[in-house]
Amino acid sequence: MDHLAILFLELGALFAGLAFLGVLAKQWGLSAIPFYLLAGLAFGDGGLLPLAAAEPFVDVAAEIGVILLLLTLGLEFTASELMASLNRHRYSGVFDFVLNATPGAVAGMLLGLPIGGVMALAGVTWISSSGIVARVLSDLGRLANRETPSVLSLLVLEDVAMALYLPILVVVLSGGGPWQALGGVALALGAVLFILLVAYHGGDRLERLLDHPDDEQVLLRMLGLTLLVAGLAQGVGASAAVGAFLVGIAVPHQLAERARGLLSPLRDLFASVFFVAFGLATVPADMIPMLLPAMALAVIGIGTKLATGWFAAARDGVGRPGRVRAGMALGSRGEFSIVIAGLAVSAGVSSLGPLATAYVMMLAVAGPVLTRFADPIAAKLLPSRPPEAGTGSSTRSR
Amino acid sequence: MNSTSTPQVVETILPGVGVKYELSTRSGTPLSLVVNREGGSVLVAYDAEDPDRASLTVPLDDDESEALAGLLNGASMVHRVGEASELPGISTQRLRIDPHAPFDGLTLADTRARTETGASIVAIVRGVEVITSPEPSQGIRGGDVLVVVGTERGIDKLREILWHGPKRANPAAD
Repeated sequence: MDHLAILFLELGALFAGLAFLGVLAKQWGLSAIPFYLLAGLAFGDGGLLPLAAAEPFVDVAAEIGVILLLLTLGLEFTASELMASLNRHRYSGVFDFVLNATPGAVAGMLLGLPIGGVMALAGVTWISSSGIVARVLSDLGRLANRETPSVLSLLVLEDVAMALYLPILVVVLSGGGPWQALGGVALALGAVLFILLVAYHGGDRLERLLDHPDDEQVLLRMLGLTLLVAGLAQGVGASAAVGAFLVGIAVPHQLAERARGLLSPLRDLFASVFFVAFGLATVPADMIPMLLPAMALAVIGIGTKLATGWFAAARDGVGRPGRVRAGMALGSRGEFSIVIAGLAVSAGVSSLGPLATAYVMMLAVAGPVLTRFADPIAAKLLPSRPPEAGTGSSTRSR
Repeated sequence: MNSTSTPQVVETILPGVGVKYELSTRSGTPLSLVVNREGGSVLVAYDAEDPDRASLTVPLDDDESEALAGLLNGASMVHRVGEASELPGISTQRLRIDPHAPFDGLTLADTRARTETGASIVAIVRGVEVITSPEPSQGIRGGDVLVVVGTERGIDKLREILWHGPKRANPAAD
């Protein structure tokens, strides 16, 4: 058979397989991410399907998947949401960082990872999956619950913190010393401030540049600008993903809403390829020694996120069952843990790949399940009905 | 109407989702409305045991929430009319048609309201039903409440007409 035929057959089988797995995930009320990772582990050399012809495409599509994930993440924010989250939940955000990044950092040191790997693993355990959490809360009809604003605000703060964390991580991973890292921090802060200024003062101009009555035009312009900025960012030694994220933040609110609608099918397609590619790059046999550390980290990660959710929801005047629900909701880790691990792996910290794969597969499954059963769990954890649960309405937020 | 204080609506931003409006009702049952950024909204009631937990969520499409808003508006319109209108010189009042009043059983056209008084009958409240923008051929029954918009003078004139009955062959009379 000629090359093209093999390529199409492989890609066709890949996407059909992903569609099937997606249906399974949905049926069980789970995120599709662990299934895509599993598919990546199953395919490839020695797997069900070699994907030899498709590999160049998969590699490029995965990179585009990361860019689209971060672009659409940036498009999610409005300045008012960010300010509201910062105002009300900044202490919870700091608590979240300290409590959840520490286990990853400690584990990284215990595993003897280089400093970049330690930092990456800290990020992997820190960042909850905003995609999974938002989806699960919506599916369970909990968006109107009183603990939900604190959960969503924490997700926003984590995601914004990524804009600072990722550039620093990239510098450290590339082997830069403390001065270079400091330079990276300055560069990152400068870029974020610059983008916020552009969004604030030049938003109209940017909107005129990107907006057009034609959907096709908007799509092409958005992709063009994003890839140009991503390429530039990669060229100067920052990460392409960071560039895409900043573009997303800079796009004015009105246009962002439309762009999100246009880009999300593309993002879903390429992001699924990204997860498969990450699984492909992981050798299943390498995962076995990492299973125990991953499991330990997962258990700790559920506990620290439970404490985070408890803390944040309590500050909002939520009763105890709601605090447990908030903590359980935050437990899911997903797309951005994989993005961070991906950066580390491509910088040569290859042992992080199997660990992060196992960790995310556990928590992307356990997180939604624990969220679903948060109320019975709360009843178990809090045996006697505390009197304050009944007075939740009088201590309600503002 | 028992309006000791204006109802308190607390607005909370739900990042990535939309905005939640929470109304603490006088009956003590909190009620929320989540307006999704991408359109549509969700009407929410809370659990009695755990007041942080949404126990009833009713997703509404935009046209459905409009229909619900219309119903709620109609119910409160009866009470609200008579309060100051936003336009200077224009007021809104409700005029009750008593059973066996002259217009019980006639139509809006018979009142000749617009021609005689300049005031417009914009709605008829009949029990729980609200007939908005009624046609001239719309019948009037005893017990109806006519919602009227016009100048004070026009409305006073219409009130008199409703009291005395339809004018017949004497259009010049005061």
